[in-house]
Amino acid sequence: MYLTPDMTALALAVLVVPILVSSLIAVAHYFSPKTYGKYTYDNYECGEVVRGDFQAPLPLQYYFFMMAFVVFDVDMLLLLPWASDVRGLGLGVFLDVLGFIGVMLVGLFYVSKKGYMRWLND
Amino acid sequence: MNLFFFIMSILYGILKFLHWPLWNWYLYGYPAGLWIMYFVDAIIEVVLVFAVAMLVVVILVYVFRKYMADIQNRIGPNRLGPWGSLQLIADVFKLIQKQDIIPKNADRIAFRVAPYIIFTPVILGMLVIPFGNVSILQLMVVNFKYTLLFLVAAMVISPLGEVIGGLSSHNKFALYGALRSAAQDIGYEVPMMISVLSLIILAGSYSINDIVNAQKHIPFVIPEILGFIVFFLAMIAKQSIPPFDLPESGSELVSGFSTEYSGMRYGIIYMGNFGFMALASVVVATLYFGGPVGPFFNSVLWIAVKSAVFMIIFLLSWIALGRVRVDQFLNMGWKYLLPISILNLLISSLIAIYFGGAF
Repeated sequence: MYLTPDMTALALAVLVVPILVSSLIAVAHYFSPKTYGKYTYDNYECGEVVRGDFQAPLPLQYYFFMMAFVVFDVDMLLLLPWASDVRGLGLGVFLDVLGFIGVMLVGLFYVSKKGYMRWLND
Repeated sequence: MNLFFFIMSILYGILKFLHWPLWNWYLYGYPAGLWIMYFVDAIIEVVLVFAVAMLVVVILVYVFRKYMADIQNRIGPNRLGPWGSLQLIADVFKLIQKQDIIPKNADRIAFRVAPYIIFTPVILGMLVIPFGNVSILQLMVVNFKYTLLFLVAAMVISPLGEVIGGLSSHNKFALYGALRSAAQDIGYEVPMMISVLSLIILAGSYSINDIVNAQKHIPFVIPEILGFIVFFLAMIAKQSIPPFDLPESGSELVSGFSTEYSGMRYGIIYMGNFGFMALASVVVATLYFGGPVGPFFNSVLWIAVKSAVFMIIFLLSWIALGRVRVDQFLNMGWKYLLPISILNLLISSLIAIYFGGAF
């Protein structure tokens, strides 16, 4: 990998921006008060004392959306190489892509007709 | 002339003027002074973009407060400075004096990392935008073949910070905010990607610079009006402003994922939100309205005007609209935006095949 100016700026940005932000937080930490009460470091629950665990079991519906998202995300990634040269690849590849998207859409239609793509389970 | 070479030549002049003996050591065949200048140059560029982005954020927050107050028949900030314009500076000093509380139950490392993940992509996205030319100086920090992919990747990272911050707080409100944030991301991300894909099809390149150059005659909003609608709604959802502010639904969850954040950490998240609004408006203006390319002349002025219009539209959407439910948003994303964006993909690929890619 060559050390081009662009790539250097990009790589340093990932380092420089967090350093600037953390210096801001450090300044704020220096000037901020450090009082301590009995409930200061408790979780916020509208002024009440914390009760119970924060975790709750999630409904299974939530994960169907995640699965559909992963499928479509990979679908989109596989279309990226085709996108830059549609004209050169021509109509045949375009029809292949149509079939590729069509399979996904038919699957999504089937799943939604089955009732899996519903937020509320009723 | 590139911004890099502009700053590099200034630095070279300074170094020559000071007669530093850095030109005697050689590193990989180049003088050590050149290497040092190289990295100093890159850092200067990043800090410059950071400063400009913060300036835009300050102006945006001021305009937002005044505009919101005007619509709600209030006066808004009016005490400090002319028309209350120094109120935000005072707010920064107020935030610095606030106590920074990390709850004792929280996952401390993830809690601390989350604001960085929200804020850093804003600057990373700003780096790759071509802002046009000022006489011969080209205002673009980073230019390589895959800038659009990098931009999309940077924009997709920042909602992950919301999820991490919400989950690591170990708070019930924050947990719900994080879960809603994740659900919202998966609702709009696929349609947004597919509309970006159709942009790549029309321009025939992954580079934002080429996309701007392809819009010399017709901006992409005309052949891709459907894709523009999808992308615009996705940008509103990505900033999590009303009507799609599910991650921090103020009236239901206390402040959503950022419930436990206080002091400067909250300030960073706030700046990240407004910075993302600036980035989103610039991205929409660049990808669909030609950015610096405009009628009569090409200039930085055009991208400023275009993105200012979109900032006002985003602020208006924030002020005027109510919140949708999570299931309504997901229905919209999966059952309307996804088919619309795929239809747009087909239209643009047919245009590319029969009329040629670049207009």
